[in-house]
Amino acid sequence: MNEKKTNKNPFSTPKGYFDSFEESLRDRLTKENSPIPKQEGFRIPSSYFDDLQSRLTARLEEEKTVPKVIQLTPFRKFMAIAASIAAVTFLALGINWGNGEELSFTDLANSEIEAYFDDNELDLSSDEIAEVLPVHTYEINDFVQPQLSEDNLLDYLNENVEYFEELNLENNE
Amino acid sequence: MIAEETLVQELKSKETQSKAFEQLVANYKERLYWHIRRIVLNHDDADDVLQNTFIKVYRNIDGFKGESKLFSWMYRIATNEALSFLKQQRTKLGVTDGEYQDKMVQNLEADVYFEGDEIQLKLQKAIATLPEKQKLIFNMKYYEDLKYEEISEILDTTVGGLKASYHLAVKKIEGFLKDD
Repeated sequence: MNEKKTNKNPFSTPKGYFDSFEESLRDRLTKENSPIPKQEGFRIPSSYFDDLQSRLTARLEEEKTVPKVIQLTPFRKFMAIAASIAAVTFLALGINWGNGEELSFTDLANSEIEAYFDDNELDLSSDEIAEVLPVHTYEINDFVQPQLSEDNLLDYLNENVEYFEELNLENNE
Repeated sequence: MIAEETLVQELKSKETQSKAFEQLVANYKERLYWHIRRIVLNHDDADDVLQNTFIKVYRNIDGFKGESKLFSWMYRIATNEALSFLKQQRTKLGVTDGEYQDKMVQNLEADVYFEGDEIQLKLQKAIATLPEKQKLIFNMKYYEDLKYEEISEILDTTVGGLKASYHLAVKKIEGFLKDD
């Protein structure tokens, strides 16, 4: 016997077979223990797949024999050009339209400004408000020593302070 | 089966095109049909979409550059055709996606090409509750036995994302089937 012994394995496996083996096994076990039905209940007409080829061939032949409709007047092309010209003209007019009379902040009615603040949540912080307030028109006393009339003050205290007498107003008039 | 590269070459050549197309249809008709049927549910609609898919493949084979497998490219066309078909139907009827999904499942009860029992009908109701992509992933993995790598190429999604979506879909469907 002159047969040579070889250790080389003559069998091979598809690429990546062992890498995905555990995952395939896990998926199969999941399927076997799952309440999800293995069959879905769909049916097809008998010999459906046998006829498919001939129906497809017929459809392709039909498409070849029916000539394509070519428009004699490329209407769409003209429409696109006309629309472009109209858009450019409109934009040019729009840019020059208001040049004669410039609008300023004073042209806005107070009610419009108030409506704007009501309708839009501006969410400004106190720092942001401070930045835009014209500080030079206010005195510091406007905030520190508010000019309240005595009557208003008494009315306020009368309504909001429970033990009015305890304030001893007479001594501090 | 002819090697994929050879088949593509033959499809691109005018002399061999029609014979190669027959081969292509023979190779993929059943797999693509079931993929489409699981999306549109109704046989006649699946037939329309399957024919459109093959016609599109035939017309656009010159545009196939071989960057993905022919099989993945065809699956992608079939998926897009089926989803576009559903969108057209929804628009025609003026209903939302959810309403149309419910209608599709309801129609199964009277469909002569559906012979599912109560649990199989409930399965379709469960699948209808899934988001579109999760539905595709579930069907492709559970019923079509595609590998994650193949699904990844077809749906252009990472394998990790697919695994997460699949397990989530299985849990949702199992939960739906157990609830009653």
